[in-house]
Amino acid sequence: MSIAILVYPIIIFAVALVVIAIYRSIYRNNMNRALEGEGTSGMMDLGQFIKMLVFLALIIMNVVALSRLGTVQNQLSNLQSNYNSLNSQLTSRISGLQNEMNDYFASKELVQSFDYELTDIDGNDALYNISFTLNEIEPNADVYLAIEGDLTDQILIQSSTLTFETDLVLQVDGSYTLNLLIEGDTIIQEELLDLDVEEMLEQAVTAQLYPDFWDEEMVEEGEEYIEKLQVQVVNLLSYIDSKQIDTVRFEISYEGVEMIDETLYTPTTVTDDMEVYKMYDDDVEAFVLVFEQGENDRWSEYEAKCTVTLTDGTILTLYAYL
Amino acid sequence: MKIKLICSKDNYDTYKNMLEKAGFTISNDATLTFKEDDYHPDTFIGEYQSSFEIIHYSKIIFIESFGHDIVLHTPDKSFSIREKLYEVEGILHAKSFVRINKSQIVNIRAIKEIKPTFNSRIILLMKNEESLTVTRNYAPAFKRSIGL
Repeated sequence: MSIAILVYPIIIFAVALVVIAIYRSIYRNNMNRALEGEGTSGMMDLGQFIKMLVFLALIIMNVVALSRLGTVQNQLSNLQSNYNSLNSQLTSRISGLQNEMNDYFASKELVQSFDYELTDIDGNDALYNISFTLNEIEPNADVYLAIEGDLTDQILIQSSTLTFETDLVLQVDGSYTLNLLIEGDTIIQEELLDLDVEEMLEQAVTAQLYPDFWDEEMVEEGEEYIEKLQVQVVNLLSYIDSKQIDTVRFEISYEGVEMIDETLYTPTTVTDDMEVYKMYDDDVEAFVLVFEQGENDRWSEYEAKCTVTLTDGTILTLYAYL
Repeated sequence: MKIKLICSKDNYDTYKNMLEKAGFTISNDATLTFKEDDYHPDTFIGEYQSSFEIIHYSKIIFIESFGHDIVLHTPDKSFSIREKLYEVEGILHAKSFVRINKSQIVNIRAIKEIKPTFNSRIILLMKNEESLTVTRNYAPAFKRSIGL
């Protein structure tokens, strides 16, 4: 603690002592003069004078303390402002540096970009298109796509640029690891992708039951809101002709009792009042059934059984709950 | 019933006869007092070593009580008197005497020096070098009596 902080109290205390001593002397003389009939009336009692002096000293110290507190508060505020500014600058610099480092490391990676797409399914064959771009490659080096898993193979890919592309036929029930293999003066192998075709296909068509959302889009009837539920059957493979949805049969039951049995033959066009429920991308095929919820019904007691028939004749049975 | 009579000499017999006719017995030991309104005696009868002296109020420094005993102090002697302290206060009130605490009455003219203290009490140094204290409750009345 700085000694300077004690200066004011010490000065005030010393001044108060001097003032009290002087007043005491005057007060005493006045009292003794009063014995001879020469006293001045109206002088404050010594105790009261000290109390008043203490009160005044407290007020002065309070004012000084408050003034100093205000100054300290301002300084603290400025300090905080400076700190925030510095922090912001530092964060910005660190972020910039991090981005530069990420860009640098990314530019040094062998595989600059990688993409794959399931383009068709023919019987048990799933046709994939694989493409990737390399950072650099030795002249005359051979680039292979090495497949491991239910099928082991190496496909030589030739390209005059650093971008390589090839088609790949995999089994619909297989699981694979795709590796990049470069054979030049040195041999480089790098894993590109773990691909579980069977799992991917199983998850391509899904059914979900969604509750109503409290939104301005909700339908108002008088003062009562009609709460709705909807079942969405989404097909991620709708771009493959043989895997498009032909029909979807919705069987909705509440507490085990069937309430709705309806079949849709065409994908649903999203209307404005359905927009809020939309949980899939625009380019995805979706069959959506919207139905009203009973007044006192509980969401958790609804069950949706969706029987999906694909164009290749495959029938999928999906269940959706809340 | 006993009654104490305080009055001027001229009226003493008149009041005595009236009170005796009313069934009272005049006695200085009585607890009941009959006092003439305008009468303020200038003297007290004080007992000092089994002898009695008449003391003029101007000789008094202060008077104090010790239980039932009332002691009157002069510059050279201390006398025992029969009056109660509140009676003395009444008698001397108009003669520059003032009560300074529960048990003491001082002659303002016998104060040598006044020393105020920080705790609102006042120390009085009397002409006989006795030091007396004006307590907080009696300080305002004391200050009024000296004209402050």
